[in-house]
Amino acid sequence: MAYLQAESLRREFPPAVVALADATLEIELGESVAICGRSGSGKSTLLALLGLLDAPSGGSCRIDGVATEQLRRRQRAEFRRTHIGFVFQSFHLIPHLTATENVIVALDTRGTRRSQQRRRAVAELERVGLADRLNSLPVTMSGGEQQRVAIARAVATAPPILLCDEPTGNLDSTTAHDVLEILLTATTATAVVIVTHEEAVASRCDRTVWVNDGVLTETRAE
Amino acid sequence: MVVVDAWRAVARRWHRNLLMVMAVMVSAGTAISLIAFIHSAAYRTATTLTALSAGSITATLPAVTWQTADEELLAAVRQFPQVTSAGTMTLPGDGGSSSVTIHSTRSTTTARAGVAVVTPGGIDARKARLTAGTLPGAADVTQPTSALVGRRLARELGIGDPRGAVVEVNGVPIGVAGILADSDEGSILSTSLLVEPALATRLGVLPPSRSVLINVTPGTAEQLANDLAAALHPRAPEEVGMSIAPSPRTLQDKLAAESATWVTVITAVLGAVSAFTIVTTMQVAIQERRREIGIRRAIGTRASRIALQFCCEAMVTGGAASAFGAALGAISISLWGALAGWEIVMPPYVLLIPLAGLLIGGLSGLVPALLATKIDPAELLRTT
Repeated sequence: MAYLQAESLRREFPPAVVALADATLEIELGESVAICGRSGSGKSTLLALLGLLDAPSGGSCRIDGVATEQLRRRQRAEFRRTHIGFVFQSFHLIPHLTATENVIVALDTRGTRRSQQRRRAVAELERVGLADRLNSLPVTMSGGEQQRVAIARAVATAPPILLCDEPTGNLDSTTAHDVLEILLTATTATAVVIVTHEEAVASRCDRTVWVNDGVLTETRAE
Repeated sequence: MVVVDAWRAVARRWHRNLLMVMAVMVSAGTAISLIAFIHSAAYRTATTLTALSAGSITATLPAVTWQTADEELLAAVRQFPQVTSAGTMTLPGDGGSSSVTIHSTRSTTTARAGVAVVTPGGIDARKARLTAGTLPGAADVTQPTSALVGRRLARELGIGDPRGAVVEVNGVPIGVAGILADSDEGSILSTSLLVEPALATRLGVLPPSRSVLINVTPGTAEQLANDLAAALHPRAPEEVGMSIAPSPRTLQDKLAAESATWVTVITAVLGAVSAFTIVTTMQVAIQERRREIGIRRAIGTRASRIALQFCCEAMVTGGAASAFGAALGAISISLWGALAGWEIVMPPYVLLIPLAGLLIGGLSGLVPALLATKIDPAELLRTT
């Protein structure tokens, strides 16, 4: 059984909008999957369901053997804490915290011992090449630097699943290439899902899933 | 960790919390200034009143005691070391004496006034002072022909200089020995003719009871009252009425207690204003920080932890701002006191103001904090 297994996953919004229809998808640990599609096609809805940020209207989503669609709101939060990391298009760093503190937030939430939090946060930031920006506030950092902090935050807790929503969408091509390189090399034992509309990004992933009007119309092995 | 996070958020977002901090500071500062002012005013009033009637007792004796001379009457009283001064001071209102018509022969002015029956000891005990002339002479004791006039009555009668001044009371000519000023220009003593018991007898205005003013060491009046009554009228001490002026401490406590309701109301209003400002600012902060809350929710932070963080932020702000405001208020009122010559009295409970700020902050932050937990982390996927 795949580590992440979505079957006939469905999301409807009242009165009759079907944002995602019967999506079936399997992802293994160590595999990277690109989810492509036009704006409004249902990519983000799929990501929200896989990331347990939203609950499906129908179907099932098993992660690590757990039927997550049956989890309550609080249980979903617990599950996210232990199984899922996020990287967003707009970085979404906490603006009044430094780079190190932003990473510590994730480690603290995960329950990492306080004596180890700073050391591990610094190690993650050094791994993404931000050794000289440890005490910088997000507002003083470039887009590429902010996204690297976001990656460090997401991978610091070593989640089995990493969900990325347009991680290079706000970056220039050179920076985007560097960030993607860091993202994929930092997550060798992780199931990585990248929502993107960029062919260049999708081509770097093991597989690409296309979403069209809420339907997974094509799965193509690269 | 949550307190550190809260402090970090408050300190680094200080400009966003400025209105809230100012409102709490002003409230705390105003509250402490107001409390200190009211207690200081009570202390000052009590001290002033005490200075006027510090440990004073007014003994009301039956009419039979008029036959006894002041010195003889008070000899037994003065044996008490706590007695500092004493003497007869029967004011027009005390013994039921009626008013008389007084005619000034110099200015041909006529006025009606009460007659106070006093002795030099009584004048001394009252702490009244002569502004002109002298006390009636010793010769007056056997053949009383002179009296004192209260300052306000003297003005009414056109008597500025008592030398040679004569007034007629009930057709009896009486020389004006001096003009007496009481501490209060509007007091009954200032508008009275002051005569000694012998002259009152001669004029037929002797009151049916005799009041004796006795000053004692502050704080001893209560315990001395019965002994003094027995000393003044050994044959029937139960016929002696003893009226004791309140002690300074009692007076201060009473004045402070009477103002306590207002202090409570005003402090409550200031607390409500602070709470309202905190609620409003925290709600705005939560709207501004939806993304941050969404991030925390997305990485799995418990809703209770997020609520606790916002509650802590409100508490930290409320506590710190009220402590700072209270300190500024205390310094301001102390400076004002030094300039105005007031002794500033601050009750110990003002130390609780920062604690109250902490509590108000926590309670006010509760509702916004709970609202924060309702934010949907999926918003992060829809915002750029």
